[in-house]
Amino acid sequence: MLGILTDFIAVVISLFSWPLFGFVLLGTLIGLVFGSVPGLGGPVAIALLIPASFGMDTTTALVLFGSTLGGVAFGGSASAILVNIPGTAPNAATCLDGYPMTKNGRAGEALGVSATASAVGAVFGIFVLLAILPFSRELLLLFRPANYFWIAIIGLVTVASVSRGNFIKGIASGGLGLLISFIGFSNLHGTYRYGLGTQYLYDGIQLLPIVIGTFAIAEAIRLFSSSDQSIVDEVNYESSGILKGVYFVLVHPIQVLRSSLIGVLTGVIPAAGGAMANFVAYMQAKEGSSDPDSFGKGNPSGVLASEASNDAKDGGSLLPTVLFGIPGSATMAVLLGAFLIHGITPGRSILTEDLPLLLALIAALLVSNLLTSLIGLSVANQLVKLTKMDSNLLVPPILAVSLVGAFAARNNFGDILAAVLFGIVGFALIAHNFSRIPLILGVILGPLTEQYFFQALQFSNQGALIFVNDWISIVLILVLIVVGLFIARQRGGEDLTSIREEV
Amino acid sequence: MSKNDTIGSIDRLLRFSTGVFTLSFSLILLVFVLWIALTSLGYSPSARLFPLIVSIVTLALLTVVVLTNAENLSGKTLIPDRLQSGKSASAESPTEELIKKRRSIVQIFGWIAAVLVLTYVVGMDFALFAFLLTYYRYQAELSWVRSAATAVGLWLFLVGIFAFVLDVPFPEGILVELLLG
Repeated sequence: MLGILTDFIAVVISLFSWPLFGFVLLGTLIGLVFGSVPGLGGPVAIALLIPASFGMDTTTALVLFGSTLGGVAFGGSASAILVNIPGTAPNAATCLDGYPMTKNGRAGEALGVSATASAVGAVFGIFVLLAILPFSRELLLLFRPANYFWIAIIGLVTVASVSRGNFIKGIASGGLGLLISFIGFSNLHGTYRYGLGTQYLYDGIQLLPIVIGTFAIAEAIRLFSSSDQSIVDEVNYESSGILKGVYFVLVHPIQVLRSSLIGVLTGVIPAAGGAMANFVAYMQAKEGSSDPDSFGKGNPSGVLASEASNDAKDGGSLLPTVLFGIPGSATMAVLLGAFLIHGITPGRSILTEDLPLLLALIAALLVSNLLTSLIGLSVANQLVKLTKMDSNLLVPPILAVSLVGAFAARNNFGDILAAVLFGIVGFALIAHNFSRIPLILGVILGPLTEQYFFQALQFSNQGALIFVNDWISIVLILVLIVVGLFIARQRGGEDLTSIREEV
Repeated sequence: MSKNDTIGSIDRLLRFSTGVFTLSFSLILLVFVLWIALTSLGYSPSARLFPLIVSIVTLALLTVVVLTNAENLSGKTLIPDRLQSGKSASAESPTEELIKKRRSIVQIFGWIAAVLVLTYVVGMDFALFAFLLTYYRYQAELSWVRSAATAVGLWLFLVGIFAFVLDVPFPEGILVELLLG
């Protein structure tokens, strides 16, 4: 672990050199803006940045992505606190006490609590991640293709079952993603599948247009169709309250650590993401408080719990994403797509030869979270103005960047059409309560899962027994059974946090 | 068919209940997966194994979704409660607000289609500028000055970042290719 820590510190120091620091600042600002505007957030930011990152070397691209992730969280909390509009779903619980504090004239204090708790939570999450990485690396070295096959299956089933909407639709969405991934020429089988004989589909549908369409274009359509102008009052706050908020966090270290731990643990659960971390930490803080009735009326502990967990979750959700290619949230699903587009494969290689790249991403996330707290406090008032913007005005730039970005990868007009098609599909999935994350995961994992399956068979003289004849496979099968039992116990109804947009 | 007839047809289509759209969408997905399954049968055993397994499972799940939606529309019980794929969409007539929302979805599809056609015909750089200008002027209803300023600013940003910094060429339209020979 000491080796990884030493390498990590060296990478952090290198981030303060030019031009890398410029990209850290740029990503932080992009994240702050996208986090502030409801409906945008991490997935759209990363999806739109992917084509822009083609001209960069991989380290710089990952620094940009990591910094953007770091900026998104605080952008969302500023609008949650100042105008009761969470910029992203993981900031929703911050509204519960943050906005009442603003109404009581304690906006500065709330922002101070948020900024400090976010920074501490982020640091905690990242160091937990770094602590686990060496053990994960040793564990992954034991994995064989058959084990990776089961990991992929578990990932698909788990993501589908805990994503928004009904689990049957979630698994169906994952299945659709897998089937889409099979389109094109298969090197494994030497067969051109489902391409209708077209030249465009020979290489399959590329991941970039699918990601851009499903997240960015779909969001643009959704923003247009539900466009309204948020009516918010002008809010100004006194900066003197900020220090009071900082002090509050520093004198409640146990609560910060507890909320951060909740964030990390819930972040690890595939597709649970920050929204769950946010509320679980908030409820825990309320139940453990000596004055639970004050929650919801402007108790800074509510803001502390929500924000510490929200930022700690990034460290947690990176873990299944980089180890197994199972995203911990929608943002991680898009980030996973970005990894693959840049030639980085989750699993063993990202913990060995690509480890410096991973450390660059994590370092950028850390530095950005710290910078965000400083920058965000000084520009919070300006960020909030973004929530007043008519969302109609955001649609053209999102569409324009999406279309150019889709074209940028291969200079192929077909990719633009594919992006638009998946934009329509993505919007339809949202409207009819199918989750998009299993779809993206299916597209990503499809070729890998098939490859692991046939590799396992190829290098074995035991036939199908190769999938059940070692302890790792047996453990993974047991995990799959437990997940299956959990799903079976669930009713077939909607999950409580699903939001159905009627069309 | 006159323009008014076309608009009238679209408007009638938008007045279907949400349940009809939901059922239609799930049916489209079902047909796609069925096509994959049937096409798989024409491939070698190893090439079809995975897609066939996945498509059969997905078919089963989508069948449950379709039946759930159909049950809601018809009012008849088609599958046991515990197998249902969640609360289905309403079979009631849509509200005016919902119809307005659907019209806006048709509108944005129209804008996207226009950009695509223009890109194909005259090239992306012109298509994007025309889109930005006309959208801000006629859709967002900004003044000509503000629309032009916003369109120029955004267009310069896009061209600057993609064409100059990232060296990504914008697609030329067929008209440009014809003119240049």
